[in-house]
Amino acid sequence: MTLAVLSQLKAPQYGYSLVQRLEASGIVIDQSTLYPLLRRLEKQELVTSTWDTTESRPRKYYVLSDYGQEIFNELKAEWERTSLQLHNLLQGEEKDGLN
Amino acid sequence: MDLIKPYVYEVTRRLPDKMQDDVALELQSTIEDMLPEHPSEEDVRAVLTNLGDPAVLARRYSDRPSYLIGPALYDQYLNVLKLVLPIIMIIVVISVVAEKILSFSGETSMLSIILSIFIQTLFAAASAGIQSVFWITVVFAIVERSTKSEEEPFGKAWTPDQLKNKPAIPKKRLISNWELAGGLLWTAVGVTVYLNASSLFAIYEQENSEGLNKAATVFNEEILGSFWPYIALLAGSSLALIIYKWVLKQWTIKLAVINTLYNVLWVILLSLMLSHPDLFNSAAVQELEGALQSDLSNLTQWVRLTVIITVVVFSGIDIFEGFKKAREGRKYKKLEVEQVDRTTEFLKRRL
Repeated sequence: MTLAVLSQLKAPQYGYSLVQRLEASGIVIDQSTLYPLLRRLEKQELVTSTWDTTESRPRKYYVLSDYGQEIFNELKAEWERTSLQLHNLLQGEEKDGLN
Repeated sequence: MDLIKPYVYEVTRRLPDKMQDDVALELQSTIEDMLPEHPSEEDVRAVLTNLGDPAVLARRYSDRPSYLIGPALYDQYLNVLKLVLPIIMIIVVISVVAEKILSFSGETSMLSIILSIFIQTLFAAASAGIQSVFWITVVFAIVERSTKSEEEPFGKAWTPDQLKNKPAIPKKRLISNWELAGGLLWTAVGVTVYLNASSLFAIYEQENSEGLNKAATVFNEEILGSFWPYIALLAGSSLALIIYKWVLKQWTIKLAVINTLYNVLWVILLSLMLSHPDLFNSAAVQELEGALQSDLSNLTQWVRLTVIITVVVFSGIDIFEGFKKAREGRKYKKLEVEQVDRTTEFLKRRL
């Protein structure tokens, strides 16, 4: 889930826009989990935030920091490796089943 | 009715001061984002329901754990409790009993002494137990909150080196610290009772109004005094057995045999002492006979026999338990060996 959130933060997003983007790609995220998560990511310096007060209401925009980008790439590679391994495992099981 | 402000307040009031304003503003704007252009109360309700219980949301915002002792520390917490509580209990029992016996001056009856020891031990043990559980919990809760989640509490990661001092002993064969402490306690109580027998076992008379007065000791003091080598031998062998058990840490056939010898020694010495014809103080016997107006030679015989039979039965059980525990371990080992044998057999056949 952290990965999903980080992937959407290359361009600045505010809370609700992030929810909509995630839901558009089929990921439903509990909002009471998302906002605290964003704050934690900020505390861990993976994302930076800015308040935008030019619009009708003030919005807090989050964007990936350089360090966040680095971590995101690592996490992504790790995830891809794991899912590939799992995929192979499951495929292997199917073949065994056929034999 | 405005529901948003109270909701935001319900969340932020649970948060640390420094993040309150920021979270309030963000939450406010997020809720408004989620609402349509001109929201009805229904819309607001739906959005707030979606966000859920403000207490839960606030908990997710704060980094503080919502438990007293977390999974990383829980096992260690239990271990410390299991280690400390028995020690505290033993110290409490020993100190209460010792204090009572040493301060015994012969003014009260045996029964009231036993009763007061029992009640005092119960209260002292309960209060000491609650105290120690409380303080251990406080210390662990502080450790829980002062270490960061990535850190290993107490600063030690597990390494195989830690296995060096931990031989694998099947639990059924293990000699628990309880067993050792119990043995120690029995020995201490036994010796104390022997040394104070003249005041513990005595017949008291009601003197007009001046309270109780010791009329005669139950046992013949001279004879009782002459038993001291037996008692010393018993106490010594009991201590030696406890130390041997402590070094060995587990039941073995050899230990079971030694345990048998010890129990036999016990029974023989006790029978020797009890069967001494002049064990009971003739003055005390006469005193009782006078009070009860009956012949007590049968009673003293009966007391001797009951004590001996009881001791024989308990010794028998102890001997049996020793062998049983020693054999449990062997069974376990044999099972393991059979398993390995079967596996190698299987592999050979496959090859």
